[in-house]
Amino acid sequence: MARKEDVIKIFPQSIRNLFGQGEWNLDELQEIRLRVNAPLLIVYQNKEFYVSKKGKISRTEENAFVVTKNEIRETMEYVSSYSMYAYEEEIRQGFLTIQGGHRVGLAGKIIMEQDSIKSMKYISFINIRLSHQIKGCANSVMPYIRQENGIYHTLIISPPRRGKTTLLRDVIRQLSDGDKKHRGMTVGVVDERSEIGACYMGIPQNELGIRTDILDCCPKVQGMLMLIRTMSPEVIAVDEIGSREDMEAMIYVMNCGCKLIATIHGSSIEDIRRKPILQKLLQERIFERYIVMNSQEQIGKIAEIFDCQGNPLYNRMEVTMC
Amino acid sequence: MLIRVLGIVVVLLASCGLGFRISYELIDRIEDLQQIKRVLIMLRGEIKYANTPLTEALSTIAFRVPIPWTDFLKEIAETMDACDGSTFPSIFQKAQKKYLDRTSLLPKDLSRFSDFGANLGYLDKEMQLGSIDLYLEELEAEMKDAKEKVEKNSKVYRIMGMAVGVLILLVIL
Repeated sequence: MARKEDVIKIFPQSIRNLFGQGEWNLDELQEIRLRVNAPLLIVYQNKEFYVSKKGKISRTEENAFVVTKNEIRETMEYVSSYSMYAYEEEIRQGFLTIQGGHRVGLAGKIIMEQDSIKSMKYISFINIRLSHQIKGCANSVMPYIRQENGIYHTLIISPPRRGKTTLLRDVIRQLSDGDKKHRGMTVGVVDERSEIGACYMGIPQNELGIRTDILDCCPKVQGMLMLIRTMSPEVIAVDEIGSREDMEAMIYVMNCGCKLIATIHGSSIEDIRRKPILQKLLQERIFERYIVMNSQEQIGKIAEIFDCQGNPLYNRMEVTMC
Repeated sequence: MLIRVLGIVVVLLASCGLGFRISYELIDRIEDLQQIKRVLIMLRGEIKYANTPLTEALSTIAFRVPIPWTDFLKEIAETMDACDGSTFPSIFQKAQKKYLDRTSLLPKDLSRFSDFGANLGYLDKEMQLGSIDLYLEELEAEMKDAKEKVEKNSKVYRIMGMAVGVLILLVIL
């Protein structure tokens, strides 16, 4: 119920009415897309639908509800709690996180200052990605990550929108809380895009465990070093690594005795091997476990797990998250 | 005879009271303008130094101002928090009508304050601060003008009140 209300209250009355009339289950809603003078689109049960003026979902554009400029403006007012000035930094980055951990992506006219983005105006495109926390979705991979008295340095490889952040979130939660057989570990999370913890006013909206410290909206490189200096974590978790600076910071973290869990965009180990910056990861055997998520089948399925030498530990293990 | 004396006293008290009331209205208006200024300065600080969203900023300021300002700010913050689908200008205007109409502010002061409220929140930081600064300058000028009026007219209203009372008595008697 709270989840439904968190989402509904960011829309103007006209769109709220659609959600009120709709007979579909908001818990299975994944995305809502608003574009000026274009139909309201939703991603529901992994498929895209139009929403009719009567709040019914349909695969055809006929009678679709069309979003107006005013509705986008009002949505922005509610998303920012009537305080656009307070979210300038987030708007500059193109997204903000609302109560409930849902992510609101924005697009419009970019204002440049010298070579960097100063601001965004005429926001005309809004994409609301509903936060999904699936507790227990990492149950099947935990035995491959854990070792006696600790864990392995682990890299989760996945194409976009296949559930890597959801998996990482549950891995963090399970490591932090511990269980009957394993003690809980202090986990530091550098949440650059506020996706893992989905902090709203400093409070994580997703459950990341009782021993987890989060640096919200912090660049990965600075964040990893800060956590080492300030929070003495046993494990550091980061999402979507990729730059040379990220690699250097990760090696520093590992040399400090911390274990690292990271995610990266890719479809397979070979895919990672082809990227010049990432080759080093494999050559120097920086990570001890590679979890590859399936790029074709249902979201959240694990395709393979490898050790540091690239030997398969598991193949086509099916872990359904959604 | 006693009734006549009582009547004279009542008429004199009423007319003097009216004169004093009008003169105090002028002073109270300055107090109310001063109160708007205080709210704006605090809001300015919250926006400039802490980037605080309006809901939080108004709730914080509500604890530092007297009634009816505290109720006015609390009501805005609570309605915003409820996110009932109202626009900010309408929330601001409703609360203003409910709590500030009984202050000594003139209709032109209330109208200017309402215009300021309509622009709150949707502007970027620079423009938001600019809008507050502009209103502060206007308030300063308005207060200066009001103070001059008090100095000039306050005594006149009191004496006029008394004189009107005496005049009424002369006509009746």
